[in-house]
Amino acid sequence: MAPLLEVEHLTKIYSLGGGTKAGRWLKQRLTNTVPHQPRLHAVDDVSFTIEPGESLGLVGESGCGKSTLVTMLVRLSDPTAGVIRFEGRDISAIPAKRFGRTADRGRIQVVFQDPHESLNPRHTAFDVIAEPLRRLQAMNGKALEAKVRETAERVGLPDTLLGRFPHQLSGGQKARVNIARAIAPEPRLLVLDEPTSALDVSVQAVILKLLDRLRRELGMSYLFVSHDLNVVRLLCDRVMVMYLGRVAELGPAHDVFTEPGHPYTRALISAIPGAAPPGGPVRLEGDPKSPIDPDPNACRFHGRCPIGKELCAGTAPPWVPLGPAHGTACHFARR
Amino acid sequence: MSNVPLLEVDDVSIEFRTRSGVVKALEDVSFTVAKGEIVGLVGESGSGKSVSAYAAMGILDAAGVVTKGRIAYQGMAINGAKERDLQALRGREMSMIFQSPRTALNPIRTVGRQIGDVLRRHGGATRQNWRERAIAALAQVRIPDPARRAEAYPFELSGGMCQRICIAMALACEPKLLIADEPTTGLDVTTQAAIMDLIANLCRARGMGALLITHDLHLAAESCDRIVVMHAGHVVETGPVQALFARPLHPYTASLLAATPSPDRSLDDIGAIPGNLPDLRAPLPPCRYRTRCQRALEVCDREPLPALVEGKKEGTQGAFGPLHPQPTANAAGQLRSGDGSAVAPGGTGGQNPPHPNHHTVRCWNPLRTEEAA
Ligand SMILES: Nc1ncnc2c1ncn2[C@@H]1O[C@H](COP(=O)(O)OP(=O)(O)OP(=O)(O)O)[C@@H](O)[C@H]1O
Ligand SMILES: Nc1ncnc2c1ncn2[C@@H]1O[C@H](COP(=O)(O)OP(=O)(O)OP(=O)(O)O)[C@@H](O)[C@H]1O
Ligand code: SF4
Ligand SMILES: [Mg+2]
Ligand SMILES: [Mg+2]
Repeated sequence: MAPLLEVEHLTKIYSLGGGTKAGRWLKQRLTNTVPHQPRLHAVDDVSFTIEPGESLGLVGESGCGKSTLVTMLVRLSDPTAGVIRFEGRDISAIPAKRFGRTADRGRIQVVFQDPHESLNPRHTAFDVIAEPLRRLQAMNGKALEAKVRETAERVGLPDTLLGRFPHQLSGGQKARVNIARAIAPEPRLLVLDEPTSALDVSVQAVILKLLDRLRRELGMSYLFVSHDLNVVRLLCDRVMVMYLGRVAELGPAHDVFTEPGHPYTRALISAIPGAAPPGGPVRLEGDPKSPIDPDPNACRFHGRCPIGKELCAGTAPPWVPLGPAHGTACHFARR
Repeated sequence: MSNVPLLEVDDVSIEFRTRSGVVKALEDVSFTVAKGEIVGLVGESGSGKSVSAYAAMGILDAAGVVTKGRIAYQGMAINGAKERDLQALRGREMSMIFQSPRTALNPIRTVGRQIGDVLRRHGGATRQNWRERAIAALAQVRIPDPARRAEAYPFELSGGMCQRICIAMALACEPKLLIADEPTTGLDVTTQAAIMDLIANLCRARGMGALLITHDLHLAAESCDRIVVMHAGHVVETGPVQALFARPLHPYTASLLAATPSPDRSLDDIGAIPGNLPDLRAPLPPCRYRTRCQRALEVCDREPLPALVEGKKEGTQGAFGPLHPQPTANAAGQLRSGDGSAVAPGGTGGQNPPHPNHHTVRCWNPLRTEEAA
């Protein structure tokens, strides 16, 4: 079967101001040179696939480009380079502004981080869930109402709550509304950017079980961004680890957690609270490299890497296969 | 005065007067934070953690009223203090990291300047050195390329980076008391570890005291000295971190632990806590956990909650004794802890706070030591 989503060499670069536009123009005129404009490599040459019904976890250091990647995949922002193929169709060429009106909008849905902040305070739960159905599928009347009720039931939201506004709902109820809104148009791919980090453990347990059940019932694929590796392990088949815009490691969740190949992955796993390995957690020393104008001929992790050598400073690491579906970008990957 | 804790919350009740009724957000809440220690405040959403923090900072919502008890910073009363005095305290002596950091930042000022502003107002920075110190503060919270990132606006940074900017701002004035409301929820575990190391170092080196509010029990277990567990506006259990997590006494604490994912648990192993937090506007039973509790006794409906301390009876681990030297009129004879040793009720107020290192619980039928282990 063809993958549901294929991402190839996806890149997002932000040009940083470096002064005002007029200032740059003036400088260019006066010095007769094109001033260098710093470029921030938020996502740099990322490739991966998601199979139908598969759940891929995305983890990595704060600021490594996870949210940037997500907003490109759900086509809320345009890539600088690279290709996103969904069900075999290239969707990266359609500008983000227009994508919202295509049929694929309903097939790729996203749940954002904070259920408290991502709901419009003036819309009832019913309106929130109905909105994508109205907009994308032109549903109305009885059919709309039936669909909203069915979806609410699926996520365990009692009928009686549908008339309520966000401030009248608990955190867990708001999270359910958010999930209901995303699954109402029956997406094939559901992207979740830290869906449970604002929830307490009890509500989180409920939502994780819900997500697990929905995936089995509806056959959706998930891209699941989270900082909680214990949660990723529970919900994901495969895991992708990013470091400063690049993919550091990708493989089956069990293998990545038990036999991490990349030293960053090892540090990450050793720092999971409550799961420190015998030698204690690996603390990363040294300053992280800058995402601005990174050296293309160095490993992004060099300088903080506990096992890095001279080679890493002068040659970008190749992709090293570690197993059938497991690989890492490291010169000294543990095999 | 070396025995005076940095922060003392003593028998505090807080109500919010809203249009839909009076929300009894906190009732008889007591805890302390001493110099150099990190105290973890845990509990479900809505249990009153942020309200406690706001009350300690003297920044309660206008609808919120402290109806009972005393909140003191180094012996100085916070509730009832003049706003001017509080403002002086908040800048220099105590600072807070808020729960939703993005909204706490000014969207149209670079982050370097925002940290600089705090440094100049409260941290003694000058026009000459504020920039340098702001960059150092960014480096401290592990922002890569701090000199250039100081020029960034909040929208140009990731969620976790904004969160770290707020942490840098809260630490910039070298507070004696730090109140951190979910400071690391948006951070990956290695960055979280670096931030917690930073806070722990400040506690060790400068004697800063910290109140760490978190949902993450693993994090609390790893970084805190003592834990305060709250449920629906009550403190239900307090104790040294190891004892509390190894032998939770309150059924609620045990349920919280059972809901927490960990490396050796599958989805089926983690269980949500049955029932919901009670509506804090409705009349409430003496124990607010009553309707969710599987160990409830008949006495739970009748009597005010007891305050018990573990191990008071010498030599017998797991035996409970009264928290306060003179038990109140409650019938001590009715009580048995699970292992048959005597449990005596204490007073229901906080007039005589226990030693902070005691493991205390407010429950008529606490878990047995063996059971919990
Ligand atoms: N609009 C923007 N302009 C310039 N730089 C940006 C912009 N948006 C994001 N960045 C930069 O891109 C990088 C990646 O940010 P992103 O939000 O994707 O990180 P993240 O992995 O989601 O982090 P977190 O875990 O903290 O949410 C960061 O260095 C950030 O500063
Ligand atoms: N301004 C207010 N007006 C009315 N009720 C309030 C107000 N602020 C808080 N409350 C109520 O007080 C209770 C405690 O809220 P608080 O914000 O302290 O919870 P929390 O433990 O911090 O939860 P979370 O983990 O979700 O942040 C809740 O029932 C809440 O609805
Ligand atoms: S006091 Fe009673 S109802 Fe409350 S937690 Fe203890 S046993 Fe349960
Ligand atoms: Mg993000
Ligand atoms: Mg809170």
